[in-house]
Amino acid sequence: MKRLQFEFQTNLDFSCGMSEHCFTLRCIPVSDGRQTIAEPKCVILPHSGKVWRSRDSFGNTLICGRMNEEHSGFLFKVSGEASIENSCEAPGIAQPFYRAYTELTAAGEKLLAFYEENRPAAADVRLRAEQLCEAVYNAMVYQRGETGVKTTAEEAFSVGKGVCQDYAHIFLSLLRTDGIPCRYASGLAFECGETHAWVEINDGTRWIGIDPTHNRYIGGGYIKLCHGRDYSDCPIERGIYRGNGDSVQTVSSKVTEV
Amino acid sequence: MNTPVADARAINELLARYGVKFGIYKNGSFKEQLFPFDAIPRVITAEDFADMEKGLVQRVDALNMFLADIYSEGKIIKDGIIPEDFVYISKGYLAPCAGVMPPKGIYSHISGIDLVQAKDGEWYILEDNLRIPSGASYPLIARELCRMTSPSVFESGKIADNRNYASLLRSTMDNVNCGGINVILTPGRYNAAYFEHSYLAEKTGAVLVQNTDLFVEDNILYMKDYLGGKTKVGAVYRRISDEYLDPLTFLPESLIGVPHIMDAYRAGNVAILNAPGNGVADDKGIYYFVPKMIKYYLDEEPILKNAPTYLPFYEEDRKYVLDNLEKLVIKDVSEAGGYGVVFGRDMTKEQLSDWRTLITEQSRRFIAQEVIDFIDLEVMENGQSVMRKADLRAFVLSGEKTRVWPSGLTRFSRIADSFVVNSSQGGGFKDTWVLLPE
Ligand SMILES: Nc1ncnc2c1ncn2[C@@H]1O[C@H](COP(=O)(O)OP(=O)(O)OP(=O)(O)O)[C@@H](O)[C@H]1O
Ligand SMILES: [Mg+2]
Repeated sequence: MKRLQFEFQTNLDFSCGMSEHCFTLRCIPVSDGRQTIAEPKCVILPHSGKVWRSRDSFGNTLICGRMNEEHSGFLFKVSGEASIENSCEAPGIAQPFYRAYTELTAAGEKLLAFYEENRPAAADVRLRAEQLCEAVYNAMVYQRGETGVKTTAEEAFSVGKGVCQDYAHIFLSLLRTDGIPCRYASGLAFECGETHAWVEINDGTRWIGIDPTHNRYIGGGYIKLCHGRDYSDCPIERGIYRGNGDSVQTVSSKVTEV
Repeated sequence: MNTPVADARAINELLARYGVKFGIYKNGSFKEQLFPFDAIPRVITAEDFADMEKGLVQRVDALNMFLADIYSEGKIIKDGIIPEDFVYISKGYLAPCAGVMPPKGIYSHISGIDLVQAKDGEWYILEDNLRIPSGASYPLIARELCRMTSPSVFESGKIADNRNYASLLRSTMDNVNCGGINVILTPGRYNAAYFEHSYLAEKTGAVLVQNTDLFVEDNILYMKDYLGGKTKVGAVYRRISDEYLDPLTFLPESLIGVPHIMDAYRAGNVAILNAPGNGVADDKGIYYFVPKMIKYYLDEEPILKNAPTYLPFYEEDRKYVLDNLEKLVIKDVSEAGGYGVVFGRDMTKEQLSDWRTLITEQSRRFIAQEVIDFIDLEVMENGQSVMRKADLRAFVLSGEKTRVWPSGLTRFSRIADSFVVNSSQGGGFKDTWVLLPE
């Protein structure tokens, strides 16, 4: 077991004042049998406006809010302590929609062909997933700037380059083609100063975390913030506001061992 | 009985003056069109209506049970009645609604069921509309005007009064209201059915609002009032589609939705009519399974028939469709408004072969049906009586009980021999008279 101290902050800087800002944050990690989270703290600035909690149908805790007054910056900061089993497993069963393609994870011609080339021989779900994970890892080159948040698995695979989100979507697409229930996980990882994305597969009784960007099972250094069928189900921050300016986002995270 | 009421021209002029219009998008621009009214009513006998009513109630009850099942346990899939492939990848299936039970378990509060009557008198269901079926206001207002021009016809006591639509709708909203006022949420005056939104608001006493009149706080939906205060909303009859409903859950670029309304709904603090996610049940692919649903959930034989339908997804059906394409109707599962409905008999050899390829490659995307030779009704055209194809949209309201409105929207084609009656394709409408038992 690992005991970790975590801190995660996102700043939005607007080029001019914004008003009627409504947001939903999925930044509160929940205890799930693998990770145990002690009293996570969440600070949101500016203080004006209303903030409350909600829950989505994927089981994530949501921080919702509404700020009417004009503001030119917005930040939220979550911190707390997590005890994490040195394991990749958490108990749970998958709803059937986790087997179905979504817009971001539907396999097109290229991914279907790639799946055929790499169709796993093993019968065991975990072994099948391992093989598909390795195939993704070998086929892709990690590179920023080639893809965006709306890039589909098929598009990212065609480019052959991408970031953790793309690795996860391609892996999900292959798993769903193979009939394995799986979901997108978003959170913090030990060595990385930003947020990270990986995948959880379900073997009937457990969710098993696998990180295709590093071709390995997740371990004690991963803190999950939220999950969904793909990225668009569970962005960590989603908001709308009135105003003509642009916004610049900066994200930082710090995970240290206690 | 089917004597026309007064003259259609007077009524059409009145309709225009009242602004009974529908809007359509054509070549990217918005146009308002009148929906031409024909004065000869469609008449449905008391006996016919009684059968139809039983069949419609049965069908809508089963569809509501299907929705409750799909968004919870999914028993009908586990029991192998409907393949999983037809449900979770449907555009209408919304995972953000999974596990959410709407107030009183009702998903489809206002259902618009499209039927046609074949030449042998048998009624066939063509389609279920469970999202935001429009059109009830047209026969309502037409009747109102006819009542003014020819009062004696309606004083005979032979025709069911259709003015109860407003009270039916109101009690449907009240039944699921979670405490607070009823509102009708419209995207605004550029919507095709804006006339209907304002008309129904006036008739039901609900407040007509746009998204900017509403906001959510602590998972409760409020309406802003003039004095800077707020009033809790208990039920929203929304006339905007699911994907625009909440920009924080669905399409982020929606400018007509209410941020966090889904949070208020999931928390059980507001009823949304119809419930989000209903699209999974009125998908043209799922239509094929409705008779099976009726047997499965109600253990009853379906009273109303489906048009004979084939799913190219099943090999046996695909073979039949490819072999008989020239006599079938093909429908794109994800389209509506008469778009994506094509008749094999109108296709050239080349088109037939292109369609065969498309159907083979994208078997989940299409359904095929036998063409139902449905009846023509008499329509007045430039002072002459002509015969035109007509269908019927029946309105079924699920409140404490499920009830069928004793009227409906009869749509007819204005093109001779055309089977496509949709208003967006230039069709007109008639009032529908349901006769009272002798
Ligand atoms: N099997 C059929 N036989 C004869 N005519 C048909 C058949 N199916 C559809 N039509 C004609 O085509 C019209 C449109 O069909 P349908 O209702 O399935 O499509 P739609 O695009 O969903 O239209 P809408 O949603 O506006 O009712 C019907 O109203 C009817 O006039
Ligand atoms: Mg129809």
